[in-house]
Amino acid sequence: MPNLANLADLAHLHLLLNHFPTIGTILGLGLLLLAFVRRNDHLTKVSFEVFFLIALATLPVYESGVAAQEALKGQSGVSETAIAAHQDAALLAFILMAITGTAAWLGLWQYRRIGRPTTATVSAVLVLSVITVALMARAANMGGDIRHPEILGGQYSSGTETAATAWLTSASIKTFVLEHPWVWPTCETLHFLGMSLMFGVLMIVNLRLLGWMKGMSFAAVHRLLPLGILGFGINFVTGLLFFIGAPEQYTQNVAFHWKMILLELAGLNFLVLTVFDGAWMLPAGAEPPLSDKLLAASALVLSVGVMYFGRMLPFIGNAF
Amino acid sequence: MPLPLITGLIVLGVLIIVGAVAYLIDESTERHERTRQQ
Repeated sequence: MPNLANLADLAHLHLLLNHFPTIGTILGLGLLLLAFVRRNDHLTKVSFEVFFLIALATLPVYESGVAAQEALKGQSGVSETAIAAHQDAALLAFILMAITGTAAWLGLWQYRRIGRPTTATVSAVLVLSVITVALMARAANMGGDIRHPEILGGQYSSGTETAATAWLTSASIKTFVLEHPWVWPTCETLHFLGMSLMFGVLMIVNLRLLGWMKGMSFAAVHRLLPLGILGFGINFVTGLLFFIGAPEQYTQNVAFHWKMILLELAGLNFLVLTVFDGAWMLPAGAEPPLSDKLLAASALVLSVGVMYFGRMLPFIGNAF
Repeated sequence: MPLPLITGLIVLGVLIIVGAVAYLIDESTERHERTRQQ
């Protein structure tokens, strides 16, 4: 199977995408604060959607960043310490962004279920987004130190030494994953269970949208969606451990590139499934319209595609 | 501790936590739904 992108392409992709998480979280936080000032529920909902979309966008930014690190390895004029510090700061920001995106998604789900998110959810999104903005800005600043000698060491320099000593580093996680023989098989088992949970929920919800199980309203099956997102949460954590443990098996693996593309599209589909009005009105016994059926079919095709390319990592790609 | 045991215990622990979180989300949302309907 021909490669979609080499390391240099991915480094270029990283340069194209790396401003989205910083600017996106600031935009989302700005919208949320404006929603408080104006007491506008619609703006709150939009800010939650922005946080979810930016969390999705951060995935390729982080992964292309790791590929860029491999592409720059050994090149003169580039500090490996600065890259490692930026990567560690980016990892922390990425994890917080994923938690913020999940909390925002929960708020969107509550909009559907009970008409508005609970105070606890809104407060959690606010606090998490403030921390995420700070961490994203820090990671971006450190990224600037890698290829901008005009600011390196000056008053705008981020001081990479402090970050390199932080406890949550890619190097320490990699050591943890590779030096304990139980970590990889445990993560593999959890990854499989998380996938089963997520796909099981997606099957039920999307089969209802396709016109099966007409005895149930769409609202009844929509209630299951948090279980699906928890399954995704398990897979996010275990997948990240695999990726940090052996990045070279994924950054240059065509099956992984396809898996990520389909995962991004499946994430968009999941957002639509959570918030859109059409299916929500579908009572028990009703036949869904064609547009809902197309949405459901695309969700199932994308999910199967993600699982297929995940399984094909060693066979089409070069993992293991 | 043998590898299958430690793996099994961690998997079981994670599933219990995930189940508890899912239950709490569902219960809390249902409570809000009931309050709203009253």
